[in-house]
Amino acid sequence: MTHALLAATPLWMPSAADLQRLGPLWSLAGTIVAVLFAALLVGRNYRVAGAIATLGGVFTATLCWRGITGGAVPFAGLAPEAAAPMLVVDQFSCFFIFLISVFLVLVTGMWFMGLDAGVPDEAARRRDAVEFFVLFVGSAFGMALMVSTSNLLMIILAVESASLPSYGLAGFRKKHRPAAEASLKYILFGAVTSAISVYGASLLYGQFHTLDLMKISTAIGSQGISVLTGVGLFAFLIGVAFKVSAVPFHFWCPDVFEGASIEITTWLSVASKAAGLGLMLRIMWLLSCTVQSADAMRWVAHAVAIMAAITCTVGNFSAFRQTNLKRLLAFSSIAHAGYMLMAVSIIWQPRESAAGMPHPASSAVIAYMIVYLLMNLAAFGVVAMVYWSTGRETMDAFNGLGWRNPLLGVVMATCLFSLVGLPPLGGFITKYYLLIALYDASLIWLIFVAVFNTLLSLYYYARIAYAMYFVQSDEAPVRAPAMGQFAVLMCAAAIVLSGTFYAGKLKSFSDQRSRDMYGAMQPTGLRVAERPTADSMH
Amino acid sequence: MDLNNVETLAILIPLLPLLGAVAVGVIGLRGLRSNSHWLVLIGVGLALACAVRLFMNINLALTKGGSGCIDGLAKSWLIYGWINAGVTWMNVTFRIDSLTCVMLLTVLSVSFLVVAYSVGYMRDHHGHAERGYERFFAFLGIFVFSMCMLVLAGNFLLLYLGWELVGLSSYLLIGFYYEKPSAAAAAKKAFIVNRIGDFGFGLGIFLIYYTFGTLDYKEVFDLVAKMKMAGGAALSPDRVTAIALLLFCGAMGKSAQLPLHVWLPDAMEGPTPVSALIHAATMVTAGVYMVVRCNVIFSASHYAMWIVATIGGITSLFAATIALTQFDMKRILAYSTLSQLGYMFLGAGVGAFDSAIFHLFTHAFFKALLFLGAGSVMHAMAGVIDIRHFSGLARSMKITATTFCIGGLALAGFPLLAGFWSKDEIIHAALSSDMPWLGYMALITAWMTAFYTFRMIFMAFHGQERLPRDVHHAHESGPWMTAPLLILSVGAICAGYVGVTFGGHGFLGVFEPHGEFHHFLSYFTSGHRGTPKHVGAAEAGWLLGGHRLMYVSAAISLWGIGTAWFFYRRRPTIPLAIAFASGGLYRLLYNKYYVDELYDLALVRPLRRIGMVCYNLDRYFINAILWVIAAVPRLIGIILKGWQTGAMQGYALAMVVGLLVMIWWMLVAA
Repeated sequence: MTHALLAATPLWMPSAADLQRLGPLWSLAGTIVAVLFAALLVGRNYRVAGAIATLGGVFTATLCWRGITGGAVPFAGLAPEAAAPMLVVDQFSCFFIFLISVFLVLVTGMWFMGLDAGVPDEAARRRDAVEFFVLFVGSAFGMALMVSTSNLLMIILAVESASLPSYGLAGFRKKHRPAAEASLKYILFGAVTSAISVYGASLLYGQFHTLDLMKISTAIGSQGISVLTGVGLFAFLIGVAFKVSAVPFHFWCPDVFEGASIEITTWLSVASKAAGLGLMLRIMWLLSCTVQSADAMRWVAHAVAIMAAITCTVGNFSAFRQTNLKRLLAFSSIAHAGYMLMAVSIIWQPRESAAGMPHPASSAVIAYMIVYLLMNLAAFGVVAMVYWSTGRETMDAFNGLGWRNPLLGVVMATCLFSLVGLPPLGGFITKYYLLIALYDASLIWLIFVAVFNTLLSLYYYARIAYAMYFVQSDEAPVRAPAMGQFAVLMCAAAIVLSGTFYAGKLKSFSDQRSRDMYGAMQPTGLRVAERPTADSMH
Repeated sequence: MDLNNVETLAILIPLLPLLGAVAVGVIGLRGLRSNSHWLVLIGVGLALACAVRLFMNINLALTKGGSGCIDGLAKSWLIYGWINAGVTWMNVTFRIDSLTCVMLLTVLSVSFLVVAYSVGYMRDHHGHAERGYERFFAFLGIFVFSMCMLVLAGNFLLLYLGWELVGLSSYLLIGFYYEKPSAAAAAKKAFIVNRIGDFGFGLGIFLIYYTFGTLDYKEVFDLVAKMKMAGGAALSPDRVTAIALLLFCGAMGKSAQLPLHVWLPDAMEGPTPVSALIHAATMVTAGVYMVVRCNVIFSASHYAMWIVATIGGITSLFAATIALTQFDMKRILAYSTLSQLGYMFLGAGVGAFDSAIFHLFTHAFFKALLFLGAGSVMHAMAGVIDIRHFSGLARSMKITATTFCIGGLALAGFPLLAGFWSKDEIIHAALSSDMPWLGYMALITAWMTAFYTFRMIFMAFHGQERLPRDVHHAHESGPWMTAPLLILSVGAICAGYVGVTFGGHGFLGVFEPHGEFHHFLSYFTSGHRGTPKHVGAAEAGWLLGGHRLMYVSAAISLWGIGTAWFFYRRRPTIPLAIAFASGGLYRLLYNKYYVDELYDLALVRPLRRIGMVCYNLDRYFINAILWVIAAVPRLIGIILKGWQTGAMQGYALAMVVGLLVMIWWMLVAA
């Protein structure tokens, strides 16, 4: 096997243009190095470390934004001419890296705000800031890799390099028992799932003698899916399912979310899920990229659909009795992963809409992801500010919040109702796009599951809103940093706007981003080739 | 910003009061407090200036290129596209024509004066602002904005929006003293009764859309006119009648016509400036405005016109009879407002749309004046407004008494004052229509009006000075309050002259009815108006000849005033004797024909009973079902929560089982 790999990749130097296209990845990797070097040069200063992380995030986001809006070079494969690329940076991955790096900047801001607002372990935080930011940007880098590859080996590497720093981050509060426990559980889970995942990858390699998903797909198309292939595929996908916390690989999620400090919870709830879903979407798409392989993949996709339905339902039901807000939001994030997985499960279906339109599933996921980011950021932001002020994350800390801090109350209520999916908020419109995609794919039963779950989720989200407005509390007003209040208010405003005035814009933006998920290299005769290429669309 | 541009002006007019209101709402409580009035006062003042400018522009255009054609002079344009749902387009369009101009001038000038008056009224005797001072002015600003939107609207949907907005501001302002249960109840009553009317109004708008496929004024009116020309097949008369009557439902609610009049007297619970502005001069006339605006639709249905005129005439007489027996100054004025609104509908119903608007215009001034005067009295009497508790105020409150008397004379139709001209026109139109009995009824009402107005004036302002127990000496109100009174009294004297032409003959006949005002309005009304009905109808006989009606109505007015003087100044025992003698009739009138009690018995109680049944059904039956439904997920939640034990072994087991199930699925499927 080693021999074959070496033969496939002779010594080769990529062109400068190719390297330039990988800019976002370089930029994130460079940020890690910069944080470390800065510690050597100016000492262990938490401000410098944070500033570098922020700048790195902003720079990466800028590069990605140029990649998104430029549109001229949708794809860069880092590989010799003939071979399949190890890294893919196209509009799709640019979008996800953009999302991740923007979120990186926002969570960094949250970290800084916590310092002044009364985090319990403030001194330790300042002291260990350098390590924290190295791990933090490191996990972001891993996530960026996850969404920009179509190679089995690279996928495993990317998942690992996203996971390893995350383990550290989860247990970063070393003296805090739940954090240590969370970290350990996370590691154990990660180890088991990645072992299974590597096993699955080896099965696939053994069968098809390639690590490239596109080639595997072609082979599946011609040979059909044998039991061995199926086992290999499922085992491989478990590594990704673990990242998006799909049931039954979700058990780490509530424990880790509860144990980790709140910035990390926020970070994992959005970035980790975004990367995992981006990857899942790409894998499922590439595996079904010929007509034959799409047909063969049907059963795998159905399994994903069932998994999505179960994930959603279990997530929502489990959230019912939770009193810890972080834990509740963990289950809520599992449920939302379920909704998005529903879209992933229909990506194999040939698209029948007008030429030039992207697959509705992928654009539904992208739109959902954008609003989900805003909702979770604001909701966790409010939880964090309440925590900083009261020292509690339980439901009773939210009693009467609507009167103890009206702004936070309104923002939280907006987020909650958007998470439920009530109009006129962003959560509604994106869920609507998702349901429309499911309808187009004639997966009616899945729509019923989604709507039923929405109904369920209303209960526990509304419970928080109820506590905020209808439960009397004589506790002191919640004092929160002005910047933090402003930030969550902006998020809430964006949620409202994305559901109303900018709903159309959101749709067209996500359509645009999902247009060229695969990039330029499509073998002839593939289903992909029937679609208009990115160039002809511009 | 081009201030000569009609479109800019029309946008500024509603915008400025709104900005003032929003600014006061935002910084009023924290920053401005007792200075809150300035922003609204300036906003409304500037809007008034814009309206004057607009009027000048339009008037210039009329005199320069004035053809009778409606489209040459009406201007309607798009502000922005609002709803675009496939074939349905709803836009925010404004429409400016002579009717809009008249309404804007009326609304804004009265509003401006009332806002200024409120500065004095909403304070105690030491000049400290009342609680909720800033809220009051913010609400006033919102009201002015809403009323301007209602008037400026260029389509029925926007009209409906403004209609509801003024209803909202009315609700907010009636319930301004919301701690007072009677005020809260009155606000609720006003809102609910208005909703009943608005329900019909909404249906009317739906029917318009259903029939014509558009809600734009111009398109609808053109279609009606065209269909009317084409004859019966194009447009069924029943349909037009239905539309007109449904629209009139809304007007009955908003303008408090029988049988939806019950809210207006109760609305006097609000602060007196509100009663003056909203419940006398402007908002309640929205119904009249709407009927006149839709004169094309109304005049296309003879039956609808008959209903409008009859309801107007009956309300007018009905309210006047109640006013004869009341003692609360504001309530007397409220019933007189009902009565005067009835006149306006009577005028509109017999086809004299311009006379209806003319009466609306003059009425706004003298009725606002009367209300503000009553407010001034109320302010001096520490909130007491019952005329049995004080008298002889004329000595200590000279300005209030004089201006109130001028307002009273105008209302009573005293010759040469504003009310005289406009009321006469309506009576003339009614007499010359095919329903002359309405005209005779209106003459009886005129006598009653004169009587109850001066009954009130003689009781309150003349005779020995008597004060309520808590008031030690009566004193005149401050300049913020007296200045608007003086300005309005000028209006009450002169407003009528815009509607008469000089140069007739005979004693009172130097003034011919139908002057500049009607000329200006005729550009609006003549477009689709058929032959005016008040031309030569034989039934009314000799009254219509020459200027006889004018003499007769002047005589009636003087007779009413004289009777009041005789009853309440010369022989104060007579009224009591009459009240005793008439017994049941007096009680019937004093208790407002028991309409409220009737509604309570016939509507409120049965509805409440049905409500109780539904409530119990919901509480004991539906809630039980829901509880069971809700219990199931909670149970599942408890079970699933149990799974999350925190023990890794269990998690690992679940994962392996999951993987095995997937592989099994693979085997089954493949």
